[in-house]
Amino acid sequence: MPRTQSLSYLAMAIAVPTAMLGQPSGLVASGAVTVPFAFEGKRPPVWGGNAVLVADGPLVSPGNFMGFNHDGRQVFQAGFFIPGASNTAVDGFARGADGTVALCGRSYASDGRGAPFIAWISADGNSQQVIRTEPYSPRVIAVAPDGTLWTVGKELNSDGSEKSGVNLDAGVVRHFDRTGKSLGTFIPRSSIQDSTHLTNQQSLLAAAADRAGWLHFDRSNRGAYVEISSDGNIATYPMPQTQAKGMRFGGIAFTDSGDVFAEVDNPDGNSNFSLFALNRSAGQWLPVRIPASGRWALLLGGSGNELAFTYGPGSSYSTIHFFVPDSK
Amino acid sequence: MRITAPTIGVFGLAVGALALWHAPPSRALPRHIRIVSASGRPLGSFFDGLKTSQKQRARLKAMKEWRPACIPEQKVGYFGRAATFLGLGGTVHAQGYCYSGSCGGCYVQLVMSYCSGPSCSGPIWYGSTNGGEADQGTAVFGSLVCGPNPPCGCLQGYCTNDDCP
Repeated sequence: MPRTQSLSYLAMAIAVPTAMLGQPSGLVASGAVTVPFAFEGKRPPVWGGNAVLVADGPLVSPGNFMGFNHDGRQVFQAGFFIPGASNTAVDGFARGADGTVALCGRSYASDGRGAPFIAWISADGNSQQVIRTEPYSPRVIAVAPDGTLWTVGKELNSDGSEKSGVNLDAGVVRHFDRTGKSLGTFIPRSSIQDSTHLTNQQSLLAAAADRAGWLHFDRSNRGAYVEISSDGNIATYPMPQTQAKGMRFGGIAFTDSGDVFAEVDNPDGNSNFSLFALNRSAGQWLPVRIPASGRWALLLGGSGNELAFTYGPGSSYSTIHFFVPDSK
Repeated sequence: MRITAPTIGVFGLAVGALALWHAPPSRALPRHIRIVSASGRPLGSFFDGLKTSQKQRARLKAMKEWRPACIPEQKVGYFGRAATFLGLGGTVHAQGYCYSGSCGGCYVQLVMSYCSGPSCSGPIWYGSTNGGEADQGTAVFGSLVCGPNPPCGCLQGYCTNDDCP
């Protein structure tokens, strides 16, 4: 067991009796906004930097990004474009505290040349930087408050396969500065048995000022939540526990205070979605009350002290609901 | 009715107005695009130095996006067709009940979308074939998405398809 991991388990064991101090146990509604965009059949948006980021265009390759603030006013619009590409798949997108938009995916020319990338678009939409990352293919991306980028992915050869020509000891979680320079690679590919944990469907990633949080899981609810601090320490926690089998995670998000939340849909389709907050000292996720009901929810992100959700049925996809931790 | 020049003019204006009404929002493309390699070296083009691949070319030509609509009970419609297309025929019961099929397809890429359709609410995973990773297929999970009444389809998930070339 890695030293940092064993230390984190030891810290949990010592701290369990005082675990409840400072733990958010409930949320209160802090507002809602309806953005002028029809989301039916579109990618769900993400929330970051006090705005919701919307991806428009084909599902797999959206090429138009818009941002709407807390009042529903449009604050961002930019096309995403790689000159010479015939096909650009966007797996993940996120918005940073300063309004910068980050993307990750793969782009191909019509003659079959292609490579994976991370990219960012400036807050005014005027500048775009694309960083080729081959052989590393990022599938999920998050922006930290300092503008650095965190990703989850794996190395692939030029045929898009792991069967040959890749380093299975290379890290799956990576940290980049804005120029694309690697700040760190973490968690070797060889330590993740099931490669589906590294997909955009089975990985949820969020970034705080001093750490990234990665929840990875499979359809049998096996997985873990891992926190990687900027200085390289790694702490592993169990997943949120529910009675349900085949649960679906609808997002993780940090607030500025460092609390991390995870949303879980109950797959029986009848009971309310659930929200959990990580109690690090107890090493477990504890339920959090939320004054909202629905069979499903998506936690779109956190900004400041606020968490943004869509949920339903009964609420429009275009209505973003905000909640803050209850101070009582 | 006699067709006169003014009639044609009015008709043209109406068609033009209709075209604008239905035009997609304009894309504000960035003025400055900088492309760099993994080592930070500036590149003239994103594709500089990459090898041409006939295999990738053929695969991308065959890329297809599939977007099953929400389906009412008793009908498998688009979803069934998509499942068949992916080699997952027979994965949906008529009453909207799902069961797991085998892993099918290669180079599958999934993305989340909001369900669209009457009486339907929630996220669902749609995607494409020939857009993802080599041995990445998809299978149907044992749960409905978008709620059971009516169901929108079954939860599609990634799986590792060892049979991919």
